Amino acid sequence: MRTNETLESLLKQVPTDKQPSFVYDRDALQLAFTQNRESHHLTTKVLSVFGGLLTSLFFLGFIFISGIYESALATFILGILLLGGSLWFSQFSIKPYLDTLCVCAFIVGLSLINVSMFERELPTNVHLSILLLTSLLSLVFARNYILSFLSLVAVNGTLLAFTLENDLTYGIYIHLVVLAFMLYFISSNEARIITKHPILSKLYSPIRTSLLFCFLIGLIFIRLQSEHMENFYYKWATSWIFIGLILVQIPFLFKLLGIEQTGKKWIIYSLTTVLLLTTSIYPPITGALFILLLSFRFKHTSGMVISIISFVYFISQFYYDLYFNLLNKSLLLMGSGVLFLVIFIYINKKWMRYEK
Amino acid sequence: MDYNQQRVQRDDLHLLTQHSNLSTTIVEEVLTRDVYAKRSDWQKLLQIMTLTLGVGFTVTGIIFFFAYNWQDLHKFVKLGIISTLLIASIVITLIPFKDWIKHIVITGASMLVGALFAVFGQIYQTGANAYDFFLVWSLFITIWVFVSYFPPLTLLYVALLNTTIILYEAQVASGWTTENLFFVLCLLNSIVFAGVQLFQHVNHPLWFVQILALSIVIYATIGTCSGINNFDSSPSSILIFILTSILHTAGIYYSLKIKKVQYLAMIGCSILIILSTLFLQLSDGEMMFFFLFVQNAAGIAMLVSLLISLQKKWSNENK
Repeated sequence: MRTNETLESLLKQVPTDKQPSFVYDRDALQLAFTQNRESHHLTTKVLSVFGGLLTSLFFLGFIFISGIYESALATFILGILLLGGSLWFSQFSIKPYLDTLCVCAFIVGLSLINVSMFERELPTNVHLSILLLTSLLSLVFARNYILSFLSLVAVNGTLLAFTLENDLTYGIYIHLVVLAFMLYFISSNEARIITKHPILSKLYSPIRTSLLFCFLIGLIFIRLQSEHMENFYYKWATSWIFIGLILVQIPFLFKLLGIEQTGKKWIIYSLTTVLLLTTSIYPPITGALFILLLSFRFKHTSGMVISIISFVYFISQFYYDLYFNLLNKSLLLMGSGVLFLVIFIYINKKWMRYEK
Repeated sequence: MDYNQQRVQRDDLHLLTQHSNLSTTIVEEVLTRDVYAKRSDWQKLLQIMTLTLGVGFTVTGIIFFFAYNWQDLHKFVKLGIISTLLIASIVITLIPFKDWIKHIVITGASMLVGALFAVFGQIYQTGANAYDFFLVWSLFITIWVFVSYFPPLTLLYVALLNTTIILYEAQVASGWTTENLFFVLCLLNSIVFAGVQLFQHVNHPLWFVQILALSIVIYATIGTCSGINNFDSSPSSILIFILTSILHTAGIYYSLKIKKVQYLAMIGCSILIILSTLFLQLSDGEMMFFFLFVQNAAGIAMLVSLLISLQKKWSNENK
């Protein structure tokens, strides 16, 4: 159910009288508003992405069968043209049914650039640097939700490929910490960022969703890395940074929930730290919890769903991998379970009393 | 004006900042007022999280405890435990609790039936095929599924029936072609879909009906494409062609009648894929790929603009 079906009712809800200098571009806003109402339906978005993938498949098939890829230069130029074309096209407020072609051109362009470099058999680091540069440029110039999303995913993918290629096994942890700080910064400063420049406002949603998605991919990536003893300290440090980022948000929660007594605050702090300590050797769990709290605090719905699913998945994975025998695992699980139930009963009673 | 009317949505606010000079303080105020999580949201989250984690961890701990000792338990004790849990859950459903509690307990009981048969098979090493297990499981929970209309349980039931058929084809019916398999699956799910729609007075959750529809469309598409590719070797593919045509036509008519675009989108994509397979049969040269690229791009573009205009027309009619 959408609220505010007309522009007028929307403007009424915003307290613009507090800002005497408030002006707005009525025509552009009305156009954007109507377009948003028409095409915000999930079905059209899914259809555009599906169409983009389907058409990319056939176009790439055409390219490969026709043998253009044998000339690396021709492929590279074609790739650049397609990529540039899709970015240029996204600058304008295009009709929704042309989204498909835009996405297709982007995917095909990027793939062709990649393929041409494989043909030339460039050293991998050079190959990856060129990909990174292209992805960064796409990110700067993309004005479309899907293109921005994909460009940022490409940037992250290239960075991870760098760490793999050069055997930097600790690279993933640094990558995750940087992403975590970026997510925190972007989520807490939404108002400041979107009012700074219209383009930043347009790119805000795709970039935040994309960062979340890349963070998640990074967490899954950790599992795939082999166990190196020297990474032990990196793992601990990453986990503790995530825990720190969670604890930093608790004072804000205290204010919101109206918890004032210092004694209670200390109990909650220590209880949370103890609970998190038990899983601190495994960054994915603290990471998933961090993005769960962040997405929930700023009501980022897709973020919430993704983080809940990943939280459940990582906890299951953690207990599956645990080298205790079944008996000890069962006792540990039952113990934690009872602890949570006790907290639940306490919270329930306290707030029921408060409601009355 | 009620609370819902007063809320500003996040994407509307973003649009506003893109075309005006709205100040940071006002944006922050609107975000905190209408978008960010409030006190009641946080309370609900903490309650749900602690309860779910508590129950989840405790139950898993109990299961692990039994798993640890499973080998040493006598076979009657094993069967006894599961049977007791099963009987207990059925008794609970007879006690007048709230409806949603009863539904969850009956779903749990249905899963326990499966566990009972699994343990039985493991103890006595009956050597039955896997499809036997799923068939028996489905049969035994049929009455419960019909009596208590609970979408997740019905979905589980449909999944079990689908698995039975797939395993039957894999393990027993060597004479079945791929097209036959998908024909039967498609037919089964369509019957379930039609059956569900007949209960007009009951409120069907959207996700449930759409998952069913999606499965029907996917089976029909795969079956038809497989039939197109193997037409020479299996003339019985004509069956799946007829079924797909009937279903697609019925689907389009139904979609227009109840004014929902999702089914049209699914059917449209399915038709595009089937057409592509058909053309690929004629030739798989480079020009065919280019032609298919153009066909699909145009097809999707037309589909999207059709859906948007239909959606606009229907939402205008509702006003």
